[in-house]
Amino acid sequence: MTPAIDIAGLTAGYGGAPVLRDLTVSVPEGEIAAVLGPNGAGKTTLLRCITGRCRASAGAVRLFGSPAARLSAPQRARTVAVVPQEVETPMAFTVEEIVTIGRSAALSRWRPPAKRDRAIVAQSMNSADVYAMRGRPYAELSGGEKQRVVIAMALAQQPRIILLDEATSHLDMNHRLDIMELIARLNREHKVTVVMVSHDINLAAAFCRRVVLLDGGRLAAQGLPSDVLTPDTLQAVYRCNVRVRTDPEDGSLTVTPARRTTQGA
Amino acid sequence: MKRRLALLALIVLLTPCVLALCLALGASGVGFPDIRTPAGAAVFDLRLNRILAGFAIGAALSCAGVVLQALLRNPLAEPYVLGVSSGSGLGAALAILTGAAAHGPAAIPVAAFVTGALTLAVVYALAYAGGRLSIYSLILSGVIVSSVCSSLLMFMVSIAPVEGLHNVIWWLLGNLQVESGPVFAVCAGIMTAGMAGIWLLSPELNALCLGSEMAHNVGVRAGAALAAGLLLATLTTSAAVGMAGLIGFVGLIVPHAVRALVGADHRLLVPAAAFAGGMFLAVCDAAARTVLAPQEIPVGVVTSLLGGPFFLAILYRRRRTGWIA
Repeated sequence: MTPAIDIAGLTAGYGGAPVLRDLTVSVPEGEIAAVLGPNGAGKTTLLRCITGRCRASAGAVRLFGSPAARLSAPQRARTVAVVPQEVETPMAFTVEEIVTIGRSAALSRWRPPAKRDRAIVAQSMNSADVYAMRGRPYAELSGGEKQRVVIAMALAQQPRIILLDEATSHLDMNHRLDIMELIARLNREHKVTVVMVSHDINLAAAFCRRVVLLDGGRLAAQGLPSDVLTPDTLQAVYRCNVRVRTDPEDGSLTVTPARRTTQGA
Repeated sequence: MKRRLALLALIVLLTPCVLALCLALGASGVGFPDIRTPAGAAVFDLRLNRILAGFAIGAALSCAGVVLQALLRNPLAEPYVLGVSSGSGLGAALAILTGAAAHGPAAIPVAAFVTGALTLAVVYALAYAGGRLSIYSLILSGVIVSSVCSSLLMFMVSIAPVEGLHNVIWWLLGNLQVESGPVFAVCAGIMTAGMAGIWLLSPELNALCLGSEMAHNVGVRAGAALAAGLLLATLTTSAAVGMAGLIGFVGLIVPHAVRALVGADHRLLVPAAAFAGGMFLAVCDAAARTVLAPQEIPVGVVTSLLGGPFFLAILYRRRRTGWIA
């Protein structure tokens, strides 16, 4: 079966030294995967290569077999959607208008949104549980509500892949869990492939079946959370001492950094 | 949504009534001119001409303001933000002071259009870095080029003979009495085409309000849409400036006011801004020629005097529905 995301020998960056070097990663359809790594490891650049925003200088990114860079804008919108850390706009859009922006590539510039587009928008708002607030100004919502609206906007694209770029990092633990349960449900019910970039290793371990660990633009490790998230691997990549505990009751992994103790102190 | 559509319809239906009312106001007195007499017919023609010019220019400047506020994601953006005002001011001053203006009524508008467009070309060229247009360098180079042009303009005004000075200043304050028929026709054509283009760009403008990265992610060709929007705003603005000089404030306040009424969706916002901006300028001009009749006030003075307090009131009351402030 063709993998949802197939990255082979990818080297990419922004003009200067490449951020990603010779990276080979593949994510099967229906997977829920985490991309972890220290700041500057190339996690966001990897996502931008998947959306075609950042061009590869060597290697290729294929989405369901087609080169990502060669997808037309509407094809791209139907294939991959992004939920970033936050979406801000100075304009007073309502929730429904923001979600409708997710249909941008499908809308006709000559006609108002068709019945089908409006139905998809309503359905997306329902799935992300924001239908009740559809008339409210987006700017007035709380951080957690805004992220659910952005997820609804992503769903309105009807994508086969959703990329989360630190989508929960400024939310409290309850809302973090909320958003991740929602993503896990979408993954289960709609078979959407999910790739999430995160600094929250514990959250990634709890929700992802596969972990890709980046270090300095190269692949450090990939596989099951229990195989990748070991003290040795994490210490080598994050350059600090970590403790990894397995909960005796539910088997969940907890990674905590250990304090640096200076000698003689 | 229904309420906003109704408000748009109201603005559109109000337009002919307001324009007809403006027809009854003028320096020669209040009341509809009697078109059966030659004098009355001449007054009627004169007023109609000005009202149509005012409507077209108000509409064009408002639409250009809508586009630039969306593309630059900046509430202070207006049609002159990228230097078109001082650039075309320079051209108009050159035409007047070199005596080119004496050769025909089209000389000043053409000179203003050409130098305005040239200024924008320079601003864009400066803002390109690594094959990409950066919003921040666009605003920055706009400010810098604009102040260089202003200095040159001030220099030219300072050495101008007295008779030319009056013309330059009158032009800088805006003048809706368009003396050349062909200039009127060409500028109106450019502005209409530009506004239609802006309206057709609505889905992209909505997406670009979330930033070009998000616009790309929802399947908009962000770079192309940005370039198209800037080009359309430039065309409509330079045509408006070439036709009637610098009329400030319309392109800044009308988009804000209209956004408070019909919301931020450009599908409704663009037509609403066009009609409301056209009405606003026609009314300002009617006031300009009536209040101190037979003395005429420059229309730019009226737009600022009327627009300023109006803008503040809206900002104060509707802060949350218009912009996050």
